[in-house]
Amino acid sequence: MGFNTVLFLAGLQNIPKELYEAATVDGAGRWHRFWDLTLPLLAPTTFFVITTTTIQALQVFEQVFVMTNPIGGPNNSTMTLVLYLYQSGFQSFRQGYASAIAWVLFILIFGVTLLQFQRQRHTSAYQV
Amino acid sequence: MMLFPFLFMFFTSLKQSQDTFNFPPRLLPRNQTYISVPGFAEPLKLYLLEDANGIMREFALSRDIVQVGVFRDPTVPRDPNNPNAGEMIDNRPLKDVQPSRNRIIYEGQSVDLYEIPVDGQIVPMVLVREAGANVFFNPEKPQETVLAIARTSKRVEYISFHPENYLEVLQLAEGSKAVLTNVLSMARSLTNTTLVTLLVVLGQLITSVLGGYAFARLRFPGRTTYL
Repeated sequence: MGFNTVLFLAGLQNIPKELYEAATVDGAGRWHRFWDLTLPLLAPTTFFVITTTTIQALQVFEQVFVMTNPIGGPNNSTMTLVLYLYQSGFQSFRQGYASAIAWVLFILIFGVTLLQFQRQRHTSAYQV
Repeated sequence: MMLFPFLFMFFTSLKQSQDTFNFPPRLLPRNQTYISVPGFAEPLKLYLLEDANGIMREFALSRDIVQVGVFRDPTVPRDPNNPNAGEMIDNRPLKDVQPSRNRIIYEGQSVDLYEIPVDGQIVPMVLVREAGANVFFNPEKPQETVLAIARTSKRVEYISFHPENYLEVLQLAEGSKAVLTNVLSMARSLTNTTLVTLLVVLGQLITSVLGGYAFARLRFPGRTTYL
């Protein structure tokens, strides 16, 4: 959260003031300056934030682990992938199954990241 | 070197669950070799054992169990920390092992002495207790049998990869082997994870953009000193 704020702060500070002045001279209003200037120039930062946050969120574990007992309870309604991996591997002692979950999770995260990289290539054509 | 844990994990994911906790741990997934013997309805497990001449060869495990004796040398005092140390299993049916004429007083009781071969020497020992040993037989000559404890014997195994774990994960449902979890745990957790991911990413984006904008554009006391 704070880390992402700092990232956005850095991204916003990297946009030159001259561009906003030029846009104002050209008659662009507040909305246009945000939509056509800030957002495209912030795209790399946004991409990085989305990617890292997605990877982190797919591995959500501690919060549920700390809050629920038995883990994932009541009746598995708060089960997540990593939690399920932990339960299979270290409580049911089905290590082969747990390893398989881990690899599937890895491929899932890898796939999502690849997809995001592809989208990124389409959108970030701007150079400051 | 750094990749070894991942490699081990990959091969573990291809193991059957009874193979994962074998000791010592092994990298490649293995299965025990079975052999079909005439006269037995089901294939029998193969083990590597010493035959009567001391040569290692493959034996099939039969259903039969024979009582064998667990002996120990009465001249060696018991280790109080490990009272079972020094006991040894004699791989002959107990009814075929005759006590010698001598008797001694051992732990306050008069007991028979047995002559037990240890590394080619005959050592007089006392019978501590009885144990059940499995009967193994040579699949080619069923009358040639050997006694041993199956749990501690060396299994004949072959390397085999099992993708069932992955199939089970991808089918989203846990099979009948479920002990702690109910069915569809995988589907449930996948849904929850996706939900959490979407919400977290959206929330992070909105709050971080607002926060970042505030820090970058708005003026507040101390801004120039701290940023």
